[in-house]
Amino acid sequence: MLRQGRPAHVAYDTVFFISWPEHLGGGSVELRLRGTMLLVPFFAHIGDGLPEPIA
Amino acid sequence: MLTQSREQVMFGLRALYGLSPSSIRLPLNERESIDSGQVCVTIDPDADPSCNMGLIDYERGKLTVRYGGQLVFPGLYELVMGGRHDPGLLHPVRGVATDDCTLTPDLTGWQADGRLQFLPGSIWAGAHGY
Repeated sequence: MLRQGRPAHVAYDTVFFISWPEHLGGGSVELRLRGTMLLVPFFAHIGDGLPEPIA
Repeated sequence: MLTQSREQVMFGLRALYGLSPSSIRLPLNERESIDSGQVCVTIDPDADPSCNMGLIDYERGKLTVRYGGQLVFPGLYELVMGGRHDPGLLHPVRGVATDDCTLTPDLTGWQADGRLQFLPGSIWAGAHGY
């Protein structure tokens, strides 16, 4: 979709391993987040030509 | 932003939301902690201009994206309503994530190697993750 200059909704599922500063006792925790992002292309650089702006 | 690769698209992140499937333990200090409740993240409209954009490189099968998020922890509401803590804890917690991703062969998704940094303004400032 992005290559054709169109916005794309994408789903994500990611886990962050967060480390706490010492004044919070240190240690770490896993934070899993699942959701979606909307990606909108600015411009494309495809082939040998110059970057092409995407309206 | 351009490299030698020939198939690249630079993009902006225009919307973002996410939910955690479960609660996590959040430290308040060295001795106390709370349950976060279901964590919610949305795009940070006040994020640094270097955020909320990325580059996808089809030729190399790579995607890099940096985004700012505001995180909401329902557990903080109960804590503040207990009257022993500053209502400022209810301000959204801000963080910046940078993901270096490898696209799946069919280009329908990616595997992310991400880093997360909590920004100043909350008790968790200085926390970081990967």
